[in-house]
Amino acid sequence: MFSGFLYSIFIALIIGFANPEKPFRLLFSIPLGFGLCSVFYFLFLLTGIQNILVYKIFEFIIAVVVSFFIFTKIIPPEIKIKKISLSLAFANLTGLLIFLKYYVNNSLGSWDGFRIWNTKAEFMFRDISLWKNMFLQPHFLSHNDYPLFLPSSTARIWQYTGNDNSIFNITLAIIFTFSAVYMLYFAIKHFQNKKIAQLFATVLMLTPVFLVNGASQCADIPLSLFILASIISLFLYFEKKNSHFLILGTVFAGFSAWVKNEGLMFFLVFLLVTGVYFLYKKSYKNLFYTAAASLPFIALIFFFKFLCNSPNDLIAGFFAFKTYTHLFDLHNYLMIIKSLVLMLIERFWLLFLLIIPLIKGVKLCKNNKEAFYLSLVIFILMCLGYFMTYILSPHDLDWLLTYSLDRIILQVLPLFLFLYALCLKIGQEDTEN
Amino acid sequence: MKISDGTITKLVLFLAFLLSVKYVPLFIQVPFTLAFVPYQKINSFNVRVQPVLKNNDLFKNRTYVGFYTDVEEQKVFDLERSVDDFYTLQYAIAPSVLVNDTEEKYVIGVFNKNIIKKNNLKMIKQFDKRTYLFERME
Repeated sequence: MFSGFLYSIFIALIIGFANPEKPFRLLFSIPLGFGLCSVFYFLFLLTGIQNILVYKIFEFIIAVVVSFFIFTKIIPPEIKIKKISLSLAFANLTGLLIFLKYYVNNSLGSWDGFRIWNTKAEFMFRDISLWKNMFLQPHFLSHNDYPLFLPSSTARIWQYTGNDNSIFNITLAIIFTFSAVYMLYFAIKHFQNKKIAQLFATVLMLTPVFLVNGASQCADIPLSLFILASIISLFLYFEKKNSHFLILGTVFAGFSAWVKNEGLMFFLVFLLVTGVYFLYKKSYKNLFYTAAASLPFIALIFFFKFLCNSPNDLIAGFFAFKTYTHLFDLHNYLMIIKSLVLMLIERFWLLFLLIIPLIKGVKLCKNNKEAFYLSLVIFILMCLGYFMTYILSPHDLDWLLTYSLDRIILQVLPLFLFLYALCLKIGQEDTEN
Repeated sequence: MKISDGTITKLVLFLAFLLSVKYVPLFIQVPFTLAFVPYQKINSFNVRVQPVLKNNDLFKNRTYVGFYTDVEEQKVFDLERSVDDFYTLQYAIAPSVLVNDTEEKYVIGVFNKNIIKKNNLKMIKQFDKRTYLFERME
């Protein structure tokens, strides 16, 4: 059982290791590998082949091909496990305990994790000839239109282990949650400096709302990982002027759309912002790369939406309940802003410690400017998108804010922290006294 | 007065750990629970899911399974308790699909007070104190 589990993780990481070059190769292999495997498993279910062994052989062949490229030095492997500070290691341990504390109390996940994500995973695991029944669920709370990255990844691992024990779900959740922190750490360290990286990663690692949401077996933390990976790839593209990273960034953005509908919004915003930028710069080659890398994901999402044949409650409400009339209700705007402020104070209070380094001032590194401003535009457009989603929602706004605002914040939190860290002057040479 | 970067970093880290001091008992509590407490078995979802899940084979080859409760059919999705019951059962019977009516061959009933009997439904199994399986008699 556990050997099957370890094997499934190993295969996913090997497949993900096909990404271009250092740095971040190992960290990128996590979202890339699990993203690809979840799509493979979904496509396998679509074929209607009943024998799961066929799928396992297929994945094995893919892994062997990737390994061939890695070990014949066409893509030379380079894994360096770097030492981390004592405070980060201690925060890591504390974070893991907070995470596991939630897990032992909610081993089948939070209500949403159980009802939406794990139920779908069961459809994709128990009888693979009947998995499409999930789209027949009659009530909107089952969210039939939600993409299948998490259920597919979970069901795939269960197929390898032979049972649906929640210990496997939670290990997957640990991988995503802590990868997000370490990706943030290494990104800040690479583009800014080690001091800030350590500070931000430690504080995020001790933030209970982040850990608890990770342990809830919902898709918000995996989404935050894909969003962060996409933006880091964009930064790497501008740093190294290597189009591989642009393609990789687009691929991660595409996978975001495969994780959650909010990820679809990120994907579209990413394509819009990079598309306009490359058009303005007359960089048609990069425009072509971005478009080409996005096409498989556009096809995947279109096909999935066609397959599930289930309208999104927010979009359906726009026409059925004429929610566009909400645009003229000032009360809704105030309610969202008030809830946001209260939510940040109540659940994200630890992160306010990160205001202290502002004492040393603000300074954006010259080399990062283009990538920073593009990412900032993406972040702002995302926030506007979230805001408009709340405004135009057909549901009771108070109910919706209560049950979703913290998760929405978490989806872009690592990205926000990354961009904020890049603005800080602390740790740069001219601030040392 | 100039404050060094190191001082600021240490101050933030110190405050972060100070504010997290309440988690210290977890260093004993969590490993103990993982080692000695059957946390999966006593999980509230699991307790409700298991009796039906064990009999999941009963619904094999049935695309739809009915659901009825002592809550009025139109109000099932308005009340938290009946929504909970509905989705907990959906998890247990997947890949069959639970529908909020009594027109199917098999119907699962969840009753908080008394069992509400319907003429054309025959009780064939009791899953737990609140949950029963009915079969439609044509």
